[in-house]
Amino acid sequence: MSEIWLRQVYRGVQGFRLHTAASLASEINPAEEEFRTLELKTVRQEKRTMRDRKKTPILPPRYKRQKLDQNWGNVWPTARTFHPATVPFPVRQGYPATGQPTPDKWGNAELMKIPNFLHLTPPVIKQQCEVLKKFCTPWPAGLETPAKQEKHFPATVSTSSYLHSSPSLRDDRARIVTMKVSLKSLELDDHGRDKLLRLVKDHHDPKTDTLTLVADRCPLSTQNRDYCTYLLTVLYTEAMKTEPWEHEKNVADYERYVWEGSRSEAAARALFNARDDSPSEDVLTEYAKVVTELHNEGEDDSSVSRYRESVLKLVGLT
Amino acid sequence: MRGSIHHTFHRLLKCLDLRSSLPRRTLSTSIPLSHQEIVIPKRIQRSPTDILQALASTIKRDTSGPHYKHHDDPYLTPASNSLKRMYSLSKESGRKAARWIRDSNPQLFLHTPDDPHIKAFAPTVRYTEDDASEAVLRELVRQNEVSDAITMYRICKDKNIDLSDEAKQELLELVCYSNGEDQLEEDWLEERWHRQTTTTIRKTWNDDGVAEELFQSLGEKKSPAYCALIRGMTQYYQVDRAWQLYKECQERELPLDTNTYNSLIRVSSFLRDASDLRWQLVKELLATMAESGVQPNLGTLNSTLEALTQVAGWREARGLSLQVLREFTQAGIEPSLATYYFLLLIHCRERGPVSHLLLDMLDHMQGRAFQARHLKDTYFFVTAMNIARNHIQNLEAARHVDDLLHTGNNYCLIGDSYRESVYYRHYFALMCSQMPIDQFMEVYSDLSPHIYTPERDVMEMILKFTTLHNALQYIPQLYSDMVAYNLGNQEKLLTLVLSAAAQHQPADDNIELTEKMGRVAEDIWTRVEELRQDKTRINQITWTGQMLGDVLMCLVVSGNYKLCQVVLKDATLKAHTILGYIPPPALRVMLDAAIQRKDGDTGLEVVKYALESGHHETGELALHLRSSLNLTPRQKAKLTTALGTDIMTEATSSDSDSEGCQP
Repeated sequence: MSEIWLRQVYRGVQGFRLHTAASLASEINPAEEEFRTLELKTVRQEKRTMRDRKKTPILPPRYKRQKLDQNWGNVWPTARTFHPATVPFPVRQGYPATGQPTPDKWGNAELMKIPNFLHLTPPVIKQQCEVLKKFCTPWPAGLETPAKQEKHFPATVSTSSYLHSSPSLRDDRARIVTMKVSLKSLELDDHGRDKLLRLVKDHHDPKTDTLTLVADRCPLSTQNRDYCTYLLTVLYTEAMKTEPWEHEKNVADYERYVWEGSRSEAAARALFNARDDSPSEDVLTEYAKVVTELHNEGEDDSSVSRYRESVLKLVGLT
Repeated sequence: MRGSIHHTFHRLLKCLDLRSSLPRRTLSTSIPLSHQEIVIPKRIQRSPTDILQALASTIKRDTSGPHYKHHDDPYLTPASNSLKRMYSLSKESGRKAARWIRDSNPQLFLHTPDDPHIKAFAPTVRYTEDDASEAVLRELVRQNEVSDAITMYRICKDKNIDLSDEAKQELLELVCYSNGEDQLEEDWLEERWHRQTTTTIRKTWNDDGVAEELFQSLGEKKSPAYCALIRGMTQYYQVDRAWQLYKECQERELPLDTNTYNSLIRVSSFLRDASDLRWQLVKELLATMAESGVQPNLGTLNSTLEALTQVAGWREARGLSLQVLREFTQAGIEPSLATYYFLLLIHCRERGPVSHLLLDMLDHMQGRAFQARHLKDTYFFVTAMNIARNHIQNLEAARHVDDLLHTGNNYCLIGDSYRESVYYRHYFALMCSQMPIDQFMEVYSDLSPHIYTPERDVMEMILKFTTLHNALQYIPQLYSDMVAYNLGNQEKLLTLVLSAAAQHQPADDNIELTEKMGRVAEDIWTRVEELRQDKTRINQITWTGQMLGDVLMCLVVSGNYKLCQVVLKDATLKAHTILGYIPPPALRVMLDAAIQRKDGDTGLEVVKYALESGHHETGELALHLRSSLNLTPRQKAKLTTALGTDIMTEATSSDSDSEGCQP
């Protein structure tokens, strides 16, 4: 290809950027050609003007349309984040900036963060209770007082069900079953009670005298419930039984302090013998009671002072 | 174990079986434990949502805020009809987009934590050609996928897969019901709500569709196939072929079921021309039904009445309709709302005699909660309100209809958004014309904009009546409502508002109202001017002289003199774009204001405008100006150039007549 032909080609093609073209052009007309600036980024010269969007007219806030005797339950039917335009009363919350009043309800994040109970005003609660009454059966007759309830239904079984705001219904904790029985209702004798308490240890609450059994070892709550029943049955039957080796229980194993046959009795009687006096039964019984109390219930000011009184009486110093 | 279980413990175990502290699913029975019988009542059975429904029944619609589907925020509450439609449809389009994403990318939705599995959340299964089988076809039919099922059927045929008669029957039923077209899914509530269906009755049955093909391919054509095909054809008005099939059934002595007979009765008016022949055909069909021992149902009643509505002009029609109703009620069929709808159509015709059937009907229906039992149940309320407004013009009847609408769950039977708006349109029109204006405005402020946004014609009516009853205190509210409802650029309405505003007489006790009227006029002026600047608008608003005159009057009266000057200047400069001229009373008022403010220049402007408009009262105005103000020599010169030297020497108009009128 001849050079002349090349020049024709390059001149004919518009906007054809090649070094050769440039050099050719510059050779031909160096004076006319101005120095081209290097543009790495193309900058749009004119901003396209945005078409004016039609401004939609805004209605006044909702609280202005609300009447004084409106039914609030219809306005705020469910739990909802606080919205100042719907709530008709002025309410302020938050720490004020210096020299400013407490922030008002408009755009108040503090009010929006906290749970509000505007959906559960007393009239609404009343209305909802009225409507739910048809699902309720009356309380059974004969179970009015807790004492009666305790008498007829001494055992309580508790389960919890869980609701999630998620597609899945399942929750592992729903299988846990708790059974509470008052030991009074089991009507055990001393031996039985003692044996049961030894078997049960921590599951017994001495303050309320209840036995609590918690079962979660089975996957279903019905199974756990049956297990609780089984456990209770087993504990009871074992408590009622007396094993042949139980006679080996000695004083060190006693769960309660028994004064009769103790060293304290021996010492008291020895005291009387030393004085050659017949022991007065009242003093002795009182002494027995006080000492038993000290051992079983622990020491405190009143019990120690009673012991002091009793000892003085015993010794004859009063 | 030593001995038997202790009696107490046995009792304890028994009571454990009977009761737990929390309600269980099983029924609890009562057993006497001791001498005293403790009877525990049986648990009241309830479905999973009964409690929610009970709680929901305590809540009614509150009119101060938007529908719960919209955001309850001043900036996001739609006021006008177009905005309501736009917001709800755009929200739904978001849901559709989400569904599209889910269905086009099923590989992204393999993680399913839901237990038990929720089918609606999973991507829809799309079958391919290789999956072609009868089971798949039946599954598609069950899922109501019409076009997919038809495609699958064709694929099965191409691949020579044998389809059982049951499968073909199922597909035939689906195709007949839907006319081979996909129906709008039930999930798209907003689209269904805003859908505007055409009410013209014409043949839409797809003759070349799959239905006939399927029918022919059935080995032995039994009654269910005929039933399906006849019903489909009558539904889409392919009446001749349906009748042919019916005749075939008669010849072959095939039994047909109730709904097929109903569908034939419904279209009987397309088979005969004369009214009495049509009724005869209906009677024949009913007789055939009775002979075959087919039990009539609600559909029969409604179809018969629908057939009678087609011949409603016939003088026998009304009597027959009542007879039909009586017979069917005696047969134990309870009428639904559609029955009442048809009765209203027959009795309360536009060009027929006035019938007060609606009142009797409403007495009978008072306080009843209805359910949707027939397709045309949703037509009742609109028609009832229409009749109350147009046929009997009775406000009490309208009130009863509205009360009925709000009993129980009857509001569900209003139909779709179009019917709801027509219902309220009739109600508003009736109330506007018959109620005292104050009462009407109470109802208006209660129902609009959230329950019903008035359209242009209704707004016009309201404005006219407000002006008529001289209840001008409502004009500012109506105007701002108009603007909010996107009616602020309707010339007719603006004219009405301005003429009403101009009628307002300022007094000491309504200063606030005067101010408001002034603001209304100002707002109209500014907005219309803005709209006029925008040349791309299709509907251009033209000022009329009357409108501008009203604007001037309002502005003068409220004391906005500066804007008056602007308006006048504008009117003078752009006189060629204004229709007509500012009327003389307005000019007079303007002139008085100018005189009061000792503004000779503006006064001159007024006079010049009057002159250019060719009003007869120009001379009067000029004389008034000259006599009331001490004009500067320059102003006097201007006046003379305009009206001639006589104007200076002329006596005031109180002495002489308007002979100084020299153009």
